[in-house]
Amino acid sequence: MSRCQQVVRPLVRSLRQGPSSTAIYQSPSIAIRSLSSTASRKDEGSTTQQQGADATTGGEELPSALLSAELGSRRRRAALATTGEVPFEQLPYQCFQEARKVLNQDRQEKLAKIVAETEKIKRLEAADASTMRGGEPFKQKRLRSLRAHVEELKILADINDPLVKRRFEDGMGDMSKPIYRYLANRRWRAMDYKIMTQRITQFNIIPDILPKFDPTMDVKMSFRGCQTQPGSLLSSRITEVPPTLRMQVFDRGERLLSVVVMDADVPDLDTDSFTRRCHFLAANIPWDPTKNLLSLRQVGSPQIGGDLAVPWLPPFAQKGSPYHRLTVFVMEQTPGEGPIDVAKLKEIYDGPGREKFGLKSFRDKFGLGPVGFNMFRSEWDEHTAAVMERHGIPGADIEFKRQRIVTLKTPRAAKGWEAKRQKPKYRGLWKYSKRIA
Amino acid sequence: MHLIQLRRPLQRAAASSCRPLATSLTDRFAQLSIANANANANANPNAEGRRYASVKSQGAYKLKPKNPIPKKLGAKKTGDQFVQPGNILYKQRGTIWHPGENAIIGRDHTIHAAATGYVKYYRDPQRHPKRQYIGVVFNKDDKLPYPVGAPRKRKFGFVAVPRRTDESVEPTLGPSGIPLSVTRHEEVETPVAETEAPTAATSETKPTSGAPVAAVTEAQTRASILPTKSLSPGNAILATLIKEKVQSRQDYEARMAALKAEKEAEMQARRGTRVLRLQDDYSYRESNWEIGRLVNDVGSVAGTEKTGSRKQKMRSRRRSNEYVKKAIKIRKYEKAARREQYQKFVAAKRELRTNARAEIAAKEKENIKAKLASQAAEKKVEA
Repeated sequence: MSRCQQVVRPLVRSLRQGPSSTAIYQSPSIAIRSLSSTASRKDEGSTTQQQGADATTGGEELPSALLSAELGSRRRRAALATTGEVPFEQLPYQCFQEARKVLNQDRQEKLAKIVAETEKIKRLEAADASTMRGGEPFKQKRLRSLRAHVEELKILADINDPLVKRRFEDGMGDMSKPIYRYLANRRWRAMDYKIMTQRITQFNIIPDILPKFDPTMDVKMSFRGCQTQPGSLLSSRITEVPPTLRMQVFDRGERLLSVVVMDADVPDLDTDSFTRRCHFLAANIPWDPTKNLLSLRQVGSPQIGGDLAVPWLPPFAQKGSPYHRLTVFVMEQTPGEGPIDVAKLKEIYDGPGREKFGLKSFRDKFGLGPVGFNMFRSEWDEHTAAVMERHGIPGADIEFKRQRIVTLKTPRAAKGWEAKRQKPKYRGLWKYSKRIA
Repeated sequence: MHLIQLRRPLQRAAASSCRPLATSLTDRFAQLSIANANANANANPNAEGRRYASVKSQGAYKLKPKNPIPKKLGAKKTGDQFVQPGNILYKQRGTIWHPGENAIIGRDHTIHAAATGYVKYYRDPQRHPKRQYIGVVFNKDDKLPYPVGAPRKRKFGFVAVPRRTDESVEPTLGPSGIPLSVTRHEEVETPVAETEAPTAATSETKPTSGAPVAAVTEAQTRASILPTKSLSPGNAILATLIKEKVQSRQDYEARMAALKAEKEAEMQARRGTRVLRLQDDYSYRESNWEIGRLVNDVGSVAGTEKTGSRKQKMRSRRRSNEYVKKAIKIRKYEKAARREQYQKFVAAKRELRTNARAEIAAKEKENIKAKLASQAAEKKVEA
């Protein structure tokens, strides 16, 4: 084992340790204030007010069964055996403690700056706009920039805290706090966002359904408990039931969301083209960063809320038709306007209104902005006929065949030696020129 | 070559100098002079041979051939002309034009139509500032490029036909109402009833097929017939062991025989089944390929073996040999394993037996001791 590993071992152990163990060990001799005070901070604006709070109070921790000394790798077990139950902050390493001091000092600076900036904001808010050179627009602009700066400082104050990092990586981050939302957003942008934007462009979602769209929230989809990759071809038996969405927003506050599932490739024989169909529509789903899971099956229930406008119609693709792109759009409703009238939604989009569904018109009619996206594809498979029969969907008895294209070329007279000798003049040669080959 | 050409006038001069002197000395000197010889050569080029150009004159390499094979490049369809998928729109060397909407480019940069519609020649600065494109639109009035952010214009290009279900029912009856095929099974006797009866009777006399088993049963019957002597304890153990062994072998052989008989019956049934098909002349007959199969192995028809190369033959022979060798090896290992197991079994039995013997011996010793003791006590009493 290298020197570095030897040093890190107890650190690792302590990072994986639960709060119960930290609570047991209360050494009065090493009483260093916890670096993190964010955990206890419920209100985002009040970072400065509760500086002395204990770091370990915030967030749920792992169950104790997972933290037992018998579990984990050989290295972890050895580390647990060799070090006592020293909490992470109190590990007696000089360099570590010095580093913590530096970090703590930096944090104090940031907090002081936050206090100063908030006071500046208060002063500016109180000031009269007419006295300023730019007037009211200048004041608003300045306020906006100051508030943005405060938000940035809040993140900078906590970004170096190892406990924050640990809690985030364990999935225990409190999403009501800006730092965890910032980290979650950064993680999402690193890969999932890129994949999603790639799917959006490669599957031509952008010109076909919306002219412009950039997702700002993470939407993951799972059918029957299995998470699906965006754009994957799914069996119609799997997609018979509505999916569950794992949604994460990265900006603060409550909002109302609408969820639309639509098929962008419904064949239209009348125009020899494609139309769209609405497979699911729900509106007024209350959502905030702390919420995570939305089962489309349970929309409208008291624990989830929201209103179901168009119930789930299993996606289907008739035999022979090219794959259908089934898109899930999460739309944010305009903040001040309150819930959408569901009766009106039902009137427009339920029943026959499902066909020729236009997301752009829906967006414009109800003042929505698309924020989240996911998709899958469906094709005809061996279960589609049964699914269509079970749900009373007509059209399983037809199959699509490619249109035959008749050539424009006019038939030309036969040319050559044989063609010439078909005439009665060459009767003597017919045995060679007729019915050869 | 040059030397030879130079020599020629000299030779001629020499020849002339050898002739009898007819002219004056000055004339002869004039003949000998080089300038005169050159004049002679120029005068008669045919006698001297012609020099052809082996290198082209200046600039001749750059001249194009006067009548090359025409490459027939250029536009094959004009703007707004109706085209179908696959029609050639433009032939070119390199990409003078690029494939646009509903157009595809070929291996030699030929632009083809990918949809039915009307040809449009256009530029698309959003896509590329300098390129020129050829596209196909569905409506003659449409303009290319389409506006940015507008949904793509797509044709479905399919027609609806009734879906063919996979479960196609094979007709069993011909048009005249008689079955298309008749399956004839050969009568196969099931040997089940035969085997059941004796097993119920006695465990010792099992159904036997084959000489060794019969011998064993004979031996056993003999053993049972033999007068039942009271055996010594050690011999009794041996006797039980032998009995057990004989019994197990008997069981095994009976099982094997039953299995073999079953397989044989199955094969017989398979061979005995004939599918007779209705022919054009309303007769029922087996297909030729089925008849052929009766002769040879299943799936091979005699005389149609592929005669591959010698190399292939050798390879297949090697493969089959390897296969056989592998099987032999496996059998060998199995046999060794069985033997080992049996040896273990025997060793365990032997140990049991020796232990039992030791016990019996100890008992006998004790008995003898007790006897001696009792005898001694009697003697004492007598005394």
